[in-house]
Amino acid sequence: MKKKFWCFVLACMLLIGTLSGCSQSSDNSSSPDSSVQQQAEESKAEESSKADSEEEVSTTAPVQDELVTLTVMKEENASQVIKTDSVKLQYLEELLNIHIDMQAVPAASYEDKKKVLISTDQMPDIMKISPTDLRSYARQDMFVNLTEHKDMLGDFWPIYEGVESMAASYEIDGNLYGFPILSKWTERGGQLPVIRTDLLEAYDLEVPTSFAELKDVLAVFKEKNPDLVPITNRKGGSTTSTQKVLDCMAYPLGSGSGMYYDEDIDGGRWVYGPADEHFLYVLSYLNELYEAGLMDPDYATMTVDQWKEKMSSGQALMYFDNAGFASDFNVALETIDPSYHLEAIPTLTNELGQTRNRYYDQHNGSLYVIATSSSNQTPALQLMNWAYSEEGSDVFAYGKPGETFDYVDGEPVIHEDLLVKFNAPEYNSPYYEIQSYLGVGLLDFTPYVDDHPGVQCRNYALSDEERAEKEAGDEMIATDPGMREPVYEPSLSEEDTERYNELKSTVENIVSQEWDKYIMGLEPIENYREVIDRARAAGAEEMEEIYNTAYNAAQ
Amino acid sequence: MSNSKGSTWQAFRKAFARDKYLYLMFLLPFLFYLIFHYMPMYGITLAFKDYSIKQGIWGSDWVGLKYIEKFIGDPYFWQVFKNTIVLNVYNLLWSFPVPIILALMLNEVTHTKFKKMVQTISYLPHFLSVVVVVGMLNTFLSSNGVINEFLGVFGLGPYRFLAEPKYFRTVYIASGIWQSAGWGSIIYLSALSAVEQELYEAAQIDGANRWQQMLHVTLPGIAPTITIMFILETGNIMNVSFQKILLLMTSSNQVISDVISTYVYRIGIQDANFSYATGIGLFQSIVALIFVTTANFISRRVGETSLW
Repeated sequence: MKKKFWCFVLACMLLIGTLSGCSQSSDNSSSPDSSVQQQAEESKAEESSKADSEEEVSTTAPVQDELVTLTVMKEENASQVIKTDSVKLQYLEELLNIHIDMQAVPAASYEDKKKVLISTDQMPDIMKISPTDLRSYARQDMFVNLTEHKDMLGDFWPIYEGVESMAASYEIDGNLYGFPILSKWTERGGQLPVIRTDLLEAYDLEVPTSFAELKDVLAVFKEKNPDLVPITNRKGGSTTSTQKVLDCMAYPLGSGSGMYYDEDIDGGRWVYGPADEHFLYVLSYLNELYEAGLMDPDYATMTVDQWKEKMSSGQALMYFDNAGFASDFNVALETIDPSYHLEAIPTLTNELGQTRNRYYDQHNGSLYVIATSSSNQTPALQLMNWAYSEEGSDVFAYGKPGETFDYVDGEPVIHEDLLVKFNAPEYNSPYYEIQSYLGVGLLDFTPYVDDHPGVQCRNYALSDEERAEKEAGDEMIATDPGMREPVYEPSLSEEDTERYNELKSTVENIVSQEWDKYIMGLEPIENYREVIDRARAAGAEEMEEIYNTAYNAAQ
Repeated sequence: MSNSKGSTWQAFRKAFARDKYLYLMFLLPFLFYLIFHYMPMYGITLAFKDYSIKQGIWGSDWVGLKYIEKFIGDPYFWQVFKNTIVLNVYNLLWSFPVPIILALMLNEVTHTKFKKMVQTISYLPHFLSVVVVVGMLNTFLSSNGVINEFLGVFGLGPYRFLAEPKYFRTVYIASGIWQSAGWGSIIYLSALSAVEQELYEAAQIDGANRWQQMLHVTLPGIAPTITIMFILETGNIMNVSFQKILLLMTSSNQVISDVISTYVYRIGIQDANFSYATGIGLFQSIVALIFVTTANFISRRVGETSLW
């Protein structure tokens, strides 16, 4: 009897324990509500202080009568942590009575999570998406149609209309469904060759001006440093390492890594790079680097962390990617040897005699959309519109006026104590650390981007000589004649979007698994012509036709 | 008739009263399967519908076998189908015997402390997450990793274990054996403990040495367990470790590593084509069902053990 009793007790405990685990999770799921309630109570308590701040707020600021919580989802870049209690978010709540519930998703899984949430109609109130998502889902009534609310968007709309050819790319059947991330002021940047210039000097080498010269330079690097990697690379957010190498290098080498606009073919047209003959030049060059031992032997499996480790420790001597990372790597390299120095160099001439590369889109190329399922559409529209206003964009870029920045001669300037704080040795990257603290910059929730705080912070600790050198480098990138502006993809009809996506899926499966064979020399380059033929027959040609027809019609 | 019904109900009540604690404990796995395996089966209807987000699963239009046919006609079909089968058959051939051999070897060890130490060490990898295991593989197998450094001492390599397609299956299966052999041996150790001691004594009287005892007593003693485990493994032949493959997959080894489940992930999650992905998943489940039924049938005919 006693045994049975204990059996019963144990079985019940097992059941209750597990069920309580389930109920625990449901408690957690309800926590946002309780936090909202708590915040509502707090906001009441702060009513008097808010009344004071409201006096300072301009009439355009969308102050809400009651606390509104908006959920915002975006990807989190490894370089800049998205804080849920950043200065900006706290100030928005204090100023507008809008609590932003930031949902930062690691960049590697953002694509998946975003698509699942859209496809299951469980979107947050505001979400960052790509133009491709916009074209795929806008017609399914997933995003609020901004054109229908144009009268509410007086700050945003004139800025949007001022950007040339954006409407032709982003508007779906004449309607805009998302707020494009626009630039108020950003540094010009791109995926450039960044090389250890101290080694060029040490080995008495000229700065290479062509890819052929670059190969010779890397060969000397290898000869002098047999244990080091002459050129390395990283994995993209949700793309493979090989895809990332091609994204950075294919266009400068004379082709493209996907569908791209080529000004040098037939006077300019859209081309699916991996299914075009010019792609052979890309594979051929990478193969030469690989076989000569100049390319990272682990290039196909590199992660972001491995890349950073190699560049920061001096194990790798060059990368071809976002030039902006060089300053952070230099901070780490200088601790090893003050002479170590990475620097971007001008665009290289390829085998076809072209000197070409692309700037990053100054306007980022992504959008924030408001879900049609959101119960807070009006506050969301008001907040997004305000983010493009003079006052709102300063808050979104600099944080809280009087506390983190002040206006000097009418221009916002970050407080010096913050510049001192984030230039302390414990902070690895003044540029990203201050932006993370403030909750600003392109890598945080900022629809109208102003890079000044990060740049002010990064340049603060530089000596006059270093600052002059930095400015010269920026000037070199900004005035490099080889750098071209990005071309916006055309807006496709519903039928064309569906057809294009279907073909893209098939064609990508054919080409993407072939590249490494040719880069590693497992197949002779000439055999890639057969892959091109297969890809074109499977739909690459039709994909180009769809893009060119839509693009030409929009012109 | 009603009498028979009454007696059945009475028998059930009696059985329930006798084993009520067992039924209570059974409730949890029952709920688990109901909630996580049976209820989601509703989603299989997606395979026969043209899924529209706003209309939902039930409201979307029926399209019959469109997506199953599309998969079979997909130019990529044979590649992922072949990769799935080959990887699993290799996995079955290499991975299945190892826990049995390990269990037999452990059974022969008489030094208790040493036996326990080997068991603990061999069980430990089972508790590592796949992400950690793949992270370790990335570090150990890179061109300047410990494996290549070691091989370099003998003038071998460096080998591009993670980049070249020809090494993928070896890396996948070998790491799988390392992770699961110890844990998998538990069930065989349990079966071994059930073999009658009298049989060993009889064999010893007949002059059988340790090897002969293992061949003629131990192995036949655990044969039913081996058969059941083999049938279950055959049922899993289409279910490769999706997570591990996805983490190990690069564009360079995709030609070998891309299997049906990773293709479903790409089509369903990355391309957001849920109907097509469900169609492919359903096709995979049907093939798996055919495999397990066939294995069970053969086992019943050849031996005397089967699942049903």
